[in-house]
Amino acid sequence: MAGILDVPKPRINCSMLSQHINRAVCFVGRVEKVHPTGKTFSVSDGEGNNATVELNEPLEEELSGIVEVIGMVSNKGAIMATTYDVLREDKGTPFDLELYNEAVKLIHDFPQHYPFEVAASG
Amino acid sequence: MPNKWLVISAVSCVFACSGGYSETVMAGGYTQSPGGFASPSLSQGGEKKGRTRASQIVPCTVSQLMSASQADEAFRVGEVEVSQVTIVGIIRSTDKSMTNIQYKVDDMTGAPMDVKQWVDTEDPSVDNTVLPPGTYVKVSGNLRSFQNHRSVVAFSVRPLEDMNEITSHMLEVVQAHMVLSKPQTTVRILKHARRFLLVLCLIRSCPEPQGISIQDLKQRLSGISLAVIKQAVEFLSNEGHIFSTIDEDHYKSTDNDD
Repeated sequence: MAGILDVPKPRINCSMLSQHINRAVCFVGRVEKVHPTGKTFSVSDGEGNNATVELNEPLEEELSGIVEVIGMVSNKGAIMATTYDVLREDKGTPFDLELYNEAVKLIHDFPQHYPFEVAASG
Repeated sequence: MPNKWLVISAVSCVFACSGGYSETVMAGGYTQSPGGFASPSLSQGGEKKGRTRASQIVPCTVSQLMSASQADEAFRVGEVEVSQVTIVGIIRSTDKSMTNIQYKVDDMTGAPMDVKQWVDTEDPSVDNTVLPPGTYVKVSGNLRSFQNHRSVVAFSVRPLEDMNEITSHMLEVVQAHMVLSKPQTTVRILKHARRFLLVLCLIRSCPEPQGISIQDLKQRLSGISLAVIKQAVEFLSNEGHIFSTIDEDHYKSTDNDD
């Protein structure tokens, strides 16, 4: 697990999955359906598209709301999750997934101002 | 691209009005230099291979902090000077000693960043509770480099209550770095404008009936490259200020009678 956390993990949405095959990514989305085995679930992004998340261990509890998944994108475009965190919405303001999606598109439009890599320092 | 810029600004304003916003914008936005883009002081800075001083806290990514170049005590992300910064990320690990708390904060742009927060042993009112891993936080502090090791010495490590601050920080980072590096682009445009004017003046002041040649212009304007002179001639011709005479290399001004 330490390995994937120490590399850049670009924030992406579903439309960017195909460009990140076999790479580490960070995917934020809304939990849609959890498979009965608890080992896989679907998430939707701010554009309403769905992705599949696959886990190493089955979920131990009910999962719902907004999750931030870190993992590798498989050849089939699924996210092989290493870890995930629930973004809490219990403190009042619901998470605006559509706005987050706009921000994701923006940081990919301006990689010079939001780099997902560490260049050698001068 | 201008439309995206409006989107960022508009969204940032919405966040500011809704109250769930950062200290950086509350402080009045980002300033480049007094007087704005067109001020002489700015073009002066441009001649000196200008840098943009950040007089306020600059929102950054961990990757930017790790890649920042360093000259003496000053750090630069591209053209943007940074010292006080904010980052937003999730705590991956913690370590507490008598005098400080150390966090590793991950904002997805690279390996987690070392954040050090001094513990105030004197003041009982200051909360020295260590925030647990998995907590999303906003860190405000100073970028430091010690023995080639970069860290942020934080004066504030605040857990996020509204996760939309993750989004707003992403927007703020792009906005801040765009705004703070803009003057260089504007300086470049101003430099070009001056050179174009020089070319026009030379063409206008030429009394010869066939006008002045590009080669003559290059000779008279030794500090300006041929490429820029040709750009100037093309622009001025398209705008109708000059026209070619005996061939494509000779030009006269259309305003000679002024």
